[in-house]
Amino acid sequence: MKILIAEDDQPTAARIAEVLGNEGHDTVIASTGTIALQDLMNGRFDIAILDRLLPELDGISLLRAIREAGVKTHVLMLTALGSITNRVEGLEAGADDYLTKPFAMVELIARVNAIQRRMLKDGEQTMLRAGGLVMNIIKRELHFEGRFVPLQPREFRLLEELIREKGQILTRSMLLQRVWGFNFEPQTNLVETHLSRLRSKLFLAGAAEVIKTVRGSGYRLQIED
Amino acid sequence: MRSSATRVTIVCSTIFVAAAVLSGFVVFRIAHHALERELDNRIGMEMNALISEYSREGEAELLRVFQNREHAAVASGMSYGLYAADGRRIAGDMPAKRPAEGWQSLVLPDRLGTVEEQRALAVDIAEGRRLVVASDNESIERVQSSLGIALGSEMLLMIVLAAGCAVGTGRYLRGRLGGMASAAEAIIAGDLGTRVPVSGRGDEFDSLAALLNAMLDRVASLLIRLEQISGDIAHDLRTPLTRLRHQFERALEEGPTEESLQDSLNQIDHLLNLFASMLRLAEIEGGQLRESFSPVDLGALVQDIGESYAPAMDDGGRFFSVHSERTPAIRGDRELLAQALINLLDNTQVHTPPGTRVYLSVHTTPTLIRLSVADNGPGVAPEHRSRITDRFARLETSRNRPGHGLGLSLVAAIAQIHGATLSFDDRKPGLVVRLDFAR
Repeated sequence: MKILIAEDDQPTAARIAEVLGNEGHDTVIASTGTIALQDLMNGRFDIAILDRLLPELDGISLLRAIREAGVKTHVLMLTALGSITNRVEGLEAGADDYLTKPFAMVELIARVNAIQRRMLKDGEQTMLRAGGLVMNIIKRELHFEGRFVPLQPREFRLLEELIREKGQILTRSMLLQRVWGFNFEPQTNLVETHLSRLRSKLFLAGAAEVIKTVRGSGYRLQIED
Repeated sequence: MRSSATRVTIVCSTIFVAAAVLSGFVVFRIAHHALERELDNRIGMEMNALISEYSREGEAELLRVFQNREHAAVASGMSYGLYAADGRRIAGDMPAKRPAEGWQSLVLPDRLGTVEEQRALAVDIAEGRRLVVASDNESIERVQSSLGIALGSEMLLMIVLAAGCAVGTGRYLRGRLGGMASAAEAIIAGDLGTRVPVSGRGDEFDSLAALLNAMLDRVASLLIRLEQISGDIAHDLRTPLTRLRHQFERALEEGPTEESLQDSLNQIDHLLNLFASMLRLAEIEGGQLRESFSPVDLGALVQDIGESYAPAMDDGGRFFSVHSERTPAIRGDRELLAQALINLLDNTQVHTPPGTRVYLSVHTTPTLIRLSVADNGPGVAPEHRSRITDRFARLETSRNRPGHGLGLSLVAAIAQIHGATLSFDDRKPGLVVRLDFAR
């Protein structure tokens, strides 16, 4: 994908470009808000990684400007301003996702991939399949190779997210956001405790270890279709 | 300085003086009319007296009465005249020309000799006989001038008093406020122990002074707390930072290993988490989040958190039960309330041993909705309970356990922003934490 990195801190911008380049994306760096605005209006970028505090034109104003102009580029906003109100402001201005600095690169990658995934998907699916797993989203039922597997609501949601992003890493904070709606990290690892339950149930149902923990990054569904 | 007090007093006084002047004029006019009517009455009565004299005694007698009256005219100010049908004046010291019938003004000398217009009445008392009675305005004028002087001096007095009041009020207020102003100046200059003087009169100034002093007390206590917090922060940050330093020192000596680098990364995450929590705490305490409140179902929240937390409780070897019931909606932030409950549950994990019973519940009473997290663990000694929600407050025993000491401060801030009361009680054994929301 074509990604614009609007970040005025040179080392950070370079690092992000490097990491995303390794993932196979084409990147362009803009070091001020005005340059970023020009690039977004003219070029066709799939994703823009916008720093909130940019020289000449700040991220929020830039975002509002491009949304008003009808630019549909997906935006992941980066900022050192991590307060709740700032986050809401960013999302309301038109950002698709919001990351607080400092962040782990794996977090950035995972979220960029999630956005990519969202773009490629067409329409809402009522049935999700992966390997022998079949999830009926409407009825909230999981079947493995034809047999019903009873799951708790949160366990179902966790598996649903993992299947939707099949093969991609979902970080703990992404899962907390999507499954619980939490933007904070509880001291107790809710994700881990629920995943272990989920894993046992899947194991008992006969599905071999399909949920992999990627150390330092997150979790991923790995299954042969 | 432009004194509002003086200005207000001047405005008030002007209104009163204007009203007084207006009423003065009205009084003057009323008096004038009354006096004129009185004069007419006198003329009328005199006319009647003369007419009855004429009808009883005849014209000669009438003329004799004229003469008597004229001698007394110096005092009474009245003039008389009798005219024949052909216009000839028969008697009296009136002008030669016969006046018309009825009420009129005639030009005559008054009792002091000044020629002026006087009120007169002419009546035909018989065929060819016209009787005229006139009176000068002396009495009216005398009364009017007395009245005028009285009213005029009253006006003057009022103006002087008003000006005096204005100046006096201004001075008085400046005096009372001056005490406050100098106390404020001392505080600005840095003497935080100063307090605004209270006069003991119990008036508005004293109320204000009491409020200002209360405010200053609060500021003083906040500053003390700030010092404490700075001390606590320094302490709490130093440990992980020192550990981090040692790790890097060792890595420089022995060479970095993946494990040690990961460890260092964890330390840094711990610190970042700490800062994020501090930021969140400050944001919550700021109060602006109230603006984005929406309806929250506490019963459903308790059920939800209970379900989410059950596996963790199980893994920790504790017994967990959840009681939820239908609750009316309250205005709040669901995520913050979830965080508060989770923090309380996290706390039970940290402060109680495996095997402890933990109980999460919500109850409704007619006046409030009560969330509770209770356990039968070691509890918190009463002497520590007051400090429990202070930032970074940690019982010394748990200084090295996971967490950053802000958990309960966050719960307290979240309670406050929702207008809920947070309380800690001894369960003997154990601790119960309650969050009471008004319905």
